[in-house]
Amino acid sequence: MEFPLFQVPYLGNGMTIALDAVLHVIISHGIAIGGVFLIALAEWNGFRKNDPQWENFAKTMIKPTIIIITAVGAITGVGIWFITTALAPRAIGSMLRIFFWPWFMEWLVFTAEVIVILIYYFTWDSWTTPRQKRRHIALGFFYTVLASMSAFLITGILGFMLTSDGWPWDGSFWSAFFNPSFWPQLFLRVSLGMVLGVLYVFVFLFYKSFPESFRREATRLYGTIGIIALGGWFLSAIWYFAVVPSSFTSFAVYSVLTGHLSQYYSYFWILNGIALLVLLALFFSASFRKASLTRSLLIPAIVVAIVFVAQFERIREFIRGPYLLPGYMYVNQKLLPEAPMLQKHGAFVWEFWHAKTAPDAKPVDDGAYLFGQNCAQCHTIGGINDIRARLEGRPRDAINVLVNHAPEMVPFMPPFAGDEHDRLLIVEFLDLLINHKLEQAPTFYTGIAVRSTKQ
Amino acid sequence: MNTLFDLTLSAPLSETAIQILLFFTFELHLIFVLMMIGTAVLAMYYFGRAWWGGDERTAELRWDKTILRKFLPLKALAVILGVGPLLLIQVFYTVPFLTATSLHAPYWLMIIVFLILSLLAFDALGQKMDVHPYYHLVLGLAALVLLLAIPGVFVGIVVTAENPDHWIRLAGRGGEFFGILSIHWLMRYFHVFGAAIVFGAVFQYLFSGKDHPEKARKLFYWIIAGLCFQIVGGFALYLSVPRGVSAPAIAVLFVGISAALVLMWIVFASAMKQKVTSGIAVAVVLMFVITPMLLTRQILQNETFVPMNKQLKENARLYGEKIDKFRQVSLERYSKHLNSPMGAGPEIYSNSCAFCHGKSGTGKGAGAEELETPPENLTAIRVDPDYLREILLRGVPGAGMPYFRFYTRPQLDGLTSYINTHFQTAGAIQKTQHPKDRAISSAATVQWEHTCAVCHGLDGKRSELGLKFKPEPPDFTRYSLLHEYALKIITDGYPRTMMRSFVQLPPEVRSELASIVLDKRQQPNSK
Repeated sequence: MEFPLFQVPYLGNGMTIALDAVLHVIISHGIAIGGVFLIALAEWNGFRKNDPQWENFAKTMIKPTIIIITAVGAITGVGIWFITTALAPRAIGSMLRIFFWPWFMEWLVFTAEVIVILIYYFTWDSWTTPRQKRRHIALGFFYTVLASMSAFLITGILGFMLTSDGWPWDGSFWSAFFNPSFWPQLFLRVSLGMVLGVLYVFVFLFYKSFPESFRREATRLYGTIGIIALGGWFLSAIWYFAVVPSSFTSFAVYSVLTGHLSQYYSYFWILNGIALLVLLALFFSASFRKASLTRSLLIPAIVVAIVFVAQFERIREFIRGPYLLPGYMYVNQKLLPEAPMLQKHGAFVWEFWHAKTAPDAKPVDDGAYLFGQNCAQCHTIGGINDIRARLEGRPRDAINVLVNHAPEMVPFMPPFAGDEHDRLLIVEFLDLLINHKLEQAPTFYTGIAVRSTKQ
Repeated sequence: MNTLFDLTLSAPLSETAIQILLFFTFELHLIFVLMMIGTAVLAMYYFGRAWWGGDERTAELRWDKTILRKFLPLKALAVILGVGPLLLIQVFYTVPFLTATSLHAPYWLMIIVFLILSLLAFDALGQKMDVHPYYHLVLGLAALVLLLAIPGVFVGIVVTAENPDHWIRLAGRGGEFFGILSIHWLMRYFHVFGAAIVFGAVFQYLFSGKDHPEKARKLFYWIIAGLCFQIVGGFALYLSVPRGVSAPAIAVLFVGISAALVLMWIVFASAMKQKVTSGIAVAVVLMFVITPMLLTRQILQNETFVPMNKQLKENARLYGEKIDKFRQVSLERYSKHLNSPMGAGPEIYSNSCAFCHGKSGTGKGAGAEELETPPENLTAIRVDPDYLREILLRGVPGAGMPYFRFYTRPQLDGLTSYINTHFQTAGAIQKTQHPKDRAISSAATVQWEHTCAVCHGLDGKRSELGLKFKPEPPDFTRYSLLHEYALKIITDGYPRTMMRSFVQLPPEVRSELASIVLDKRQQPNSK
């Protein structure tokens, strides 16, 4: 079984998912978990201290928060699923079957989240008696509990995608869900949510008009929360990388620096250290009520936090290569046992789309199709991670060896799934491609439209 | 379809359980979607009426604001309630649904962008964002167009999934519809649009109109118009079903049409008598309309999907048996991969280098036989560490040596350290074997200057011409060979490079040439 091929032009598949996913993580962690918790905290402070300034501050934030959560956060979350549906259908289909129940529960929790936040928003002005107000505040905190439950369920699935533990051998659901990176990643995500949440409320605090005395009081509270959250985030990040197999973490720094910057290794640590210091400085200055210093550090800290999020997600996604689902599926959606089977019997024996839609295909088109099947999940032609740049200057015999020994030579690349004849087809195609001898570069756009020669 | 099969992992629930769950979760989702779209259409309509309709009363009321305020909860619930059915569809209709999304992938992906933009715009307008009417109009219309495009994509996906007979042709056309599929898609889209008008109007009647006779009457007209549109459009939709409609489906359809007529009668009577009808009664009857309609669709889908799924599962079972034979070996490989430290020098050499250069570094690895340009004999060269790093970072264009930029600096340091330790690649430069008290013969010097230097350059740093070759000759000031190895290459040449054999030269001249090459080497000036 193979689904029709599709590749996002220029961006490639990985970058398309990354753009959506990073935005979603920032909103779901920073605003849904952290932001709403801190809003409810502000409301509670207002009620407890009978201080309308806290109440007013909380109310200022709730409308944009609910719009961002429901219009962008929810859609980008579902968006990750949508994108993988089109770009990695076999992987998402398998994941849904392995984790059907967590996914189903996630839907129920997600629905409850939306209902609770809607009630929270629409009852703000109408629940006014002390009893109603207590209930309202409890609802705000309850929302963050639900959002954290959502993180709990999703973390089991995300963790599996890197540390699938014993599942490939015994198929046990529990070892798949509570995999080794589950707890550290859960703590990491929740504490990251608090860090981002503090930055989110600071935006309102410093860019909306509030009395200076209130601003100083609020920065102290949120700054202290920020310090604790940052500490939790840092420790759980160390814990997380300690449980990931070293065969994966070997390429963690490379995944961020990429081939362009891979030799500037020390800069990676220096810049990350500086970034961490920026966040620390922000939270400490806030906890010491240095409002003006906090304000001047806010924008750099937001940039730094976004970079941290993108960096972590990039590392997590990249280092599991050559696997999409470790122990079960390679990054090109071939099952692990399929690779040796197709190497023995040939890639076209169980092939549906290419055989049906291009029965008259020339050998070079077959090669292009094999490229689509084996390589296009990561490599584009002319875009990000361009295969022409990767193979530039390589003669045909070298390409042949590279295709044949890809997993040995580049440990995050999957094996070529095809027999010797198939390998010669893809080598022929790649040789023609990198030497610009094709009449037209193939596209991997809706179905089989893989043509490298004019028919 | 023998080579098309379901996933080899089994589904978590029985087909019947999934179908029942799917039916009700989808109905719930669809109701909110229809109310959301209908609300957006009504809001834009009454916005236009308020500003440009010439109706002072409508302008005064600014009813569109009341309508649009309800958009936020509707859209939030519509989106979230869609997650459940999407999960169930992908689990039960795995192959048809995922094939359809792949075939229409660009449109499918655009849904995310369309949703974010349209929902943000309507939320902003609905939650008291006051802008100039023209901006409101432009923003609202753009948001409405994007919002209306979304069911178009979904309908397209479902139409494709339901018609596997047309997949091959669709794939050949890059997912573009044709003939009967185009007509069916269009009719189905209109049917969704008509339903959205009815549901939007009923929702607004329940939540913002029923206590206001003037608004209630207008909403009744919307409901009647919507139902009329549905009956006419529904007939066209019936005719456009590519596989025809079976008797059980017709029977259920008849129930839905009857309920629609009852609803129309209730609403029409209320509108004529200017009476306020119970909103709950309208909503209940509406449920009797939509449920049989969705059941009709379910019956038609099952006629395709159930036998297809059966075949796909059987194919998957057979395929699973075939790949199971390779399961053990693949898991052993996985286990080995998982337990290998990939970033240490010995492992990098073992993984990335040894299959060409060989474990002993002599250039006789397993992959070497497949290469026309033999891999370097690492034991027979002495290289400036910086030069070695340059080669590792950019490879040798024109030869099999690829670049290794996917290793970081410390990892490459580990690799070069391993190579140096085992093969003395950065070891002491071999002194020339030519006796110091005897000058190099003029024959060798002339040969070097007139033949070798054309490519290698007089100073050994390579000429302009040499630098154009792929692979280019080495820089002899930073790279040297053991005398014997240099002599061998001068004698035999280096296959598939510009370095040809000079076996015709007298042995002593060849030996002197090797000495000239060695003399070019300079001490490394950096680590």
